[in-house]
Amino acid sequence: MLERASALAGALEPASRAGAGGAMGLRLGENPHFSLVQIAGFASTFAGLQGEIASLLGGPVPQLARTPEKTAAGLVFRTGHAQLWVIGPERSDLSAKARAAIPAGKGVVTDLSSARTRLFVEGEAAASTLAKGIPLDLDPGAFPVGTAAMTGVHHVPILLHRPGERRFDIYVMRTFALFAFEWLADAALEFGYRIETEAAA
Amino acid sequence: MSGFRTPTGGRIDRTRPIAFSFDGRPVIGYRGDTLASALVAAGVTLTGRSFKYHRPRGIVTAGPEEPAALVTLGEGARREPNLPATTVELVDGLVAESQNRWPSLGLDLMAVNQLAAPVLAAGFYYKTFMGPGEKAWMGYEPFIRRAAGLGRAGREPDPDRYEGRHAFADIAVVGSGPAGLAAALAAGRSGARVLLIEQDFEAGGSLLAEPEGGVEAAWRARVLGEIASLPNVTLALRTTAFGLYDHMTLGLVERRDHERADPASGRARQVVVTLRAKAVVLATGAIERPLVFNNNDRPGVMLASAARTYLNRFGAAVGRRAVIVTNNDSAYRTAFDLADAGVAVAVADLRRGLDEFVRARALAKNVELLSGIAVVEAAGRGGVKQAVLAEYRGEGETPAFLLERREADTILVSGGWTPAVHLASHLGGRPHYREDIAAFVPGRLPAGIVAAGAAIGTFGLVSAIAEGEAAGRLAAGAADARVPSGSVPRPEVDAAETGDLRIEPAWHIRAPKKGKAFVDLQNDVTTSDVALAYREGYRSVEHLKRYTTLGMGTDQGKTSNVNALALMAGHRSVAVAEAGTTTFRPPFTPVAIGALAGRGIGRHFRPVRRSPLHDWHVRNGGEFIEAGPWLRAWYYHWAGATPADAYVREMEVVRRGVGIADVSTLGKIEVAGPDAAELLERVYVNGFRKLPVGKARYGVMLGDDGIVLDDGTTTRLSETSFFMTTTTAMAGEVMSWLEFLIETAWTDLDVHLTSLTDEWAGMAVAGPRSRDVLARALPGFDLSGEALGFMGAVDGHHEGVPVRVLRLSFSGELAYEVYCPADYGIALFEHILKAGEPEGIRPYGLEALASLRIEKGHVAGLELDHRNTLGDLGLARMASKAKPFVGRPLAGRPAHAGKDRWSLVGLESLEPGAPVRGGSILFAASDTIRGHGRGYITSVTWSTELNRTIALGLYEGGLAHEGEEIIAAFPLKDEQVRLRIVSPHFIDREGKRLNA
Repeated sequence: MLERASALAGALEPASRAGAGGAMGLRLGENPHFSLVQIAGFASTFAGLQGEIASLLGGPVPQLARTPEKTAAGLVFRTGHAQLWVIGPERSDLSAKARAAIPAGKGVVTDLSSARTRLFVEGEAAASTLAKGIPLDLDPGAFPVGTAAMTGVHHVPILLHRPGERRFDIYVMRTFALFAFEWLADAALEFGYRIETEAAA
Repeated sequence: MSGFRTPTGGRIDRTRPIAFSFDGRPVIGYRGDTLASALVAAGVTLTGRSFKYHRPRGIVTAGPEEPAALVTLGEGARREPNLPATTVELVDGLVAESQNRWPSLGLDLMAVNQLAAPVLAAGFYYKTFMGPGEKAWMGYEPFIRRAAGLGRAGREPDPDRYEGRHAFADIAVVGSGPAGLAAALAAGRSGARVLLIEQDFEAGGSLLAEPEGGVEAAWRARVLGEIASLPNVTLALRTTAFGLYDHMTLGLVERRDHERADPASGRARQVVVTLRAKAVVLATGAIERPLVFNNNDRPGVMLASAARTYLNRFGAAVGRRAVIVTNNDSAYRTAFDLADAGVAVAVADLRRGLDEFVRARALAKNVELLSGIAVVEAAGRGGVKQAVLAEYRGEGETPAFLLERREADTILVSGGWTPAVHLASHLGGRPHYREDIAAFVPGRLPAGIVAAGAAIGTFGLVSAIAEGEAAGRLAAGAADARVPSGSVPRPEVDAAETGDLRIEPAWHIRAPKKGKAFVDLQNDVTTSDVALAYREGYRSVEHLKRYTTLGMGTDQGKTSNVNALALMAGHRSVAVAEAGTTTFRPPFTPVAIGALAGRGIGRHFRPVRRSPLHDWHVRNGGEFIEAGPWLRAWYYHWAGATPADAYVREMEVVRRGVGIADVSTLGKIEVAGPDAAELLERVYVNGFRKLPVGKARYGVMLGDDGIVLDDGTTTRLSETSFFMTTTTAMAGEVMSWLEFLIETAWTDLDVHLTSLTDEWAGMAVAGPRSRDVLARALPGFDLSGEALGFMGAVDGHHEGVPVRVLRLSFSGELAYEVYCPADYGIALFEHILKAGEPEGIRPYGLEALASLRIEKGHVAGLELDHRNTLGDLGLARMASKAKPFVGRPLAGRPAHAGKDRWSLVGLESLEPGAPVRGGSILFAASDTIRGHGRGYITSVTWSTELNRTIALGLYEGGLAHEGEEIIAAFPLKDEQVRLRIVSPHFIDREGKRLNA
């Protein structure tokens, strides 16, 4: 049996480190339990495909990169003008269903579950930690819960999502994952942190 | 100067003494002191020696404009030079050292430079040392640098932590003086997010120099209290706004030396903040200007306003007998406050006809008024002993005789005020000159940026507050917020205190006898140097700066620039406005390089990419090598302890048995859609439209310029879907290039690109036994020669995991590339290794991979040097004549068809045992070995097949010289070796192994 292993499976050990004044304000690490299916259309077809995609996903197609939509199939990000990313459960038959639903002449379905690593940072200082590298205003007024952004952190392109006021998920290219995580842990140092690999929900 | 601590007063905390050392001597200050104020209070006059002449220098200012009192702080790795003592917050255990003296501050032997002063004038270095030529300069430079210069940094790595941070605000207010506080309070009342930025460790700016218990201090306390009650306003102390950039972006540096943070705790010592605001208020205040007269650099000559700050803020009187020399009204505040503190004060006012209000107050406070009188010289070798007085007859006039030598330990000067226009000028707005205040004020400011208070030449307290409030209101408007009326209280000041300077400009106070009158204390530039620059033709203020070094250094001429350019204007007989200012560039005050680098150091220096198989290599004796951002498996310990031993054995395994290598770093792109084939047809020089499903093809693409961009194989998976591979190095560029084409040039194509580089792990299984191994490892795949011939492709599953097998060969052997989703990469790699045990399969690394391809004559990144044409690489026949493709028009230009172009050749060593090095320069046998030669070696390896060193290279004329003997020179090691030009296909030219 071929076993699945995330990018950080061999690199992250549960550990904790106290920050300035003994602070222990953050949890950070990886949550590998997801699938990522990219559904793309073409400039000439995407508008016409949205109805089919909405019924495939069981929810609305997001119109802006900033505002992902929650659907039955998972959390859907608009990652291009004719491109969606669906973050679904680890075991998902969405790619097969989507390939069946979307004819090759109208769109392309690509499984990218291995291509991204999902890091997270959670705690009071989560936004302050990310502010050390992400050039976005993460004030809750400017970047409310549920917001997403395609941005970068310390030279690495990422998809950033805020599932909760004190939590951010970072989808980073797999081959950059450890580099990005090392940056994150370093940025979190003054706040103190515990490293975890989160279990499946 | 004989400064002392006043018995009471000041904002220092007299219950919290702080012990520190200056030049090894223990000194006591108080919490709330700066290093400078503590030194003033301790009676320390001499704080350093000057840059060029080693003249004694003392404290001149009380702020970041300090030109003279530069010190080195800390010891060992934390040693930090050239910090103005006036901005150093006193902390326990601080260790400060004076600079540029040897062996000690009191006895400085380098002061002998003063005797050589006549030859050390402006342009000295250029004339004396650079004149004889570059070589001479190289010889002199180390000696000059030892004799002149400021402090020295430590040589060990700085142990402290520095960081960068992004911050956002609706409104940024720079400066917390009267205008800044008013702006921040007004803007804060609108509910907008306000960041109030103050470089000092206390807020208040000029208000901190006001006496305790006064209306000014009361106003400051009240407004700060109101600001503190607003949760939307943040006060950032110890934070300097060092630059203003486009789109309301400010560069800030936050200093935390008072925290004495331990770097291991993750707390940074300094943070460079990139602040993005919607509107900016510049309330940066003004800097007092010195007066220029003989020996005006003596310790004990200080700005009048600085003396007031030391007195009222720090409870430190600068001396016991002070002569104040001024050309404007502002210095009287210092005179009166010092007199109140018991200092004997005389004011030499250059102006005549002083108004009655001033006269009456001076009389009341027992301050002696000398109207129309100037200090023409500061007398006393190590510090001020006397102020030499003479009648002042106007700019450029020399008095015929001296009036008096007045005993004094302190000479306080005020030549007017220079608004801090730096930030306001960073975006390119040129400051303009206002005659009424004899100063430059900001030029036009971009929308959303407002300036207020002394920064724009408004010196009256009430007017500055009113301007600040208006600026806060404007800024709030620019940030879409509204300020309620009556937001900022007004102080009840005397109506006579208008802040008018009533200034009579004075740029150089002349004396009957010769002497050195300093314009720029930091760079030892005198009035004579400015005159010399003028005589020698350096008349623009920018040339003046470069020629004399005036306005350079850590203070960037904050106290000297205006005097200097006014003097130059005088020489040129033009108005000061016409002479103009030099360009203001960030940073406003120095920012440590370490702070700018932040955490981009060590392992965070640049991104590192790791293959999905990385952990396997780590666990199994792989050694890594950096290849661009990638860490790649270089060789494995099973094959040898050094790369030189290991790669040869790894090559052997591939040539004789079977090996497996990680090729996950190859760029992989899904090209899909009804027009996918059309896109490939356009970007590759060879045809792809007719490529059958299940087949791969080698392709080359050119840039617009007709130069080879990249190569790789592309496989057709279905009518509408292709799997493209690129070189590791060019993966990102090719992806961007193709996206650019379909998003801009060919928007009509229905095609979508997805990078699969991170999705798919790739492994090459190569060698004569590779089919046997894979057939066992992947029983569901038919890998027979009939089913999967050379360049064939098949998709399938193994244990439910998608697997793609391509029959491609980089080594020239029977070989396959196997791909699967990266999450399963290690599992599949291990599975194939296990399946290959009977065949003795072994992993091989990048070194062997590269060597195998050299033997086969495959070009790679080293040969594709972004200068070669298809022809240069022996690929000209690949280009289709039947279709257009990107790069085709320029590929045909004459320069690309020359016969002497550097083209791909194979090279064989003719000297067994002699090293052949990559990068060696190639020469014909008859050439003189000099210059750039006729080409160079791109790749070199030991060939296990041929038992000799072989190489690939680019050589003028290429294979037209096949069979010739040439020379490879490696000048760095003074080596030469004879080589023969041969075909780059060293092995299996018929492709028997490949097609096995």
